[in-house]
Amino acid sequence: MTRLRTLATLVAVASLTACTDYATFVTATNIGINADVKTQDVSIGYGRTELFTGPGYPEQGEAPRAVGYINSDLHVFQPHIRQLYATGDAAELVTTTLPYPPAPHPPAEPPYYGQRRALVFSTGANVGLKLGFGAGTAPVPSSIKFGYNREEASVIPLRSDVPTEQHRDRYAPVLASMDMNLGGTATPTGTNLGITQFFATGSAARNLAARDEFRQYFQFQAQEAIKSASLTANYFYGSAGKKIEAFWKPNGAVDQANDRRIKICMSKYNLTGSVAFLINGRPEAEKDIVISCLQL
Amino acid sequence: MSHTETLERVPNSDVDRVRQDFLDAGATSVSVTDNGDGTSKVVATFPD
Repeated sequence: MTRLRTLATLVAVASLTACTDYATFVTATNIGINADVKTQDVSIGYGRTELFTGPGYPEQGEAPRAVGYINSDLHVFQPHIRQLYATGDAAELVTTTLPYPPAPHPPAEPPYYGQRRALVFSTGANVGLKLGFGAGTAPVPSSIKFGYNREEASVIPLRSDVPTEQHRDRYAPVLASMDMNLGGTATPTGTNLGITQFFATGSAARNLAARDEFRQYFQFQAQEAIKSASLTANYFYGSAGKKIEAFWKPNGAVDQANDRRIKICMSKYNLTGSVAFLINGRPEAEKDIVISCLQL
Repeated sequence: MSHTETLERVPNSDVDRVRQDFLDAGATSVSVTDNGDGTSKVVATFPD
């Protein structure tokens, strides 16, 4: 929470102070042990900060192009790291598919014209241990974070005019993703943790989001999430299960009205799965909640 | 796209009733694996 406040403050300050006549793109990555006297922070693990400040073009719904990417196995001593940092045409080139320029329609000149207003986009991620020693003389940390911490924030400028049907608001595109996966075999000097991060603004964000492999990656993740939603339980069929079953199938067949009422109660108490799973697999206490809801 | 619901250690005497419950609840298929100790594992597949 403190980190979130810190990032929110950083973004607020950056948005207030960001000049619109130049763009700043910063990424900072740390793998291993990092100690900084100035910030009074000590971190062990992986930390990465990405920040873009510069002009947004709210009339065009556009932002300058920038892309940052890192992929690492987070091995401290023999790291495998792939990292990319690009702005402008370079960001456009690395995020589009070959051949470039795409035939038969070469890319148009970016619509960087009209009103300019400050745009800020930032992410911060930390995996591992981070100690913060705030102001004070006591040799004790003022903040301790262990595990996974991630913040993302953006300030996207809009036109100062009231939007109308003819002149609608247009949002500049930004994109940030992070994939942290466990896999492989850990060794005493290694890790089985892998990190992949993307950070992009403007047409680079649009290009990445439109690429099949990027979209399929997230579709795959969604499919995996659905798979993990599959339910497993030990069989349990007691008096509460019998009571619900009698209500569900009063004459040996499903009563559709009662079926709907049971599902409404299950949904109300976030009990996923089918009515059959409720009757035969869920604990007695959860069945009692449904019975109470049904006022049986 | 589908998801599954699995019940472990269902007494063999109750397997037919459980199977029918799953089918009545909308399962497209129900598979039963005998554990060899008087119980079975019942896996129901539901469409998403």
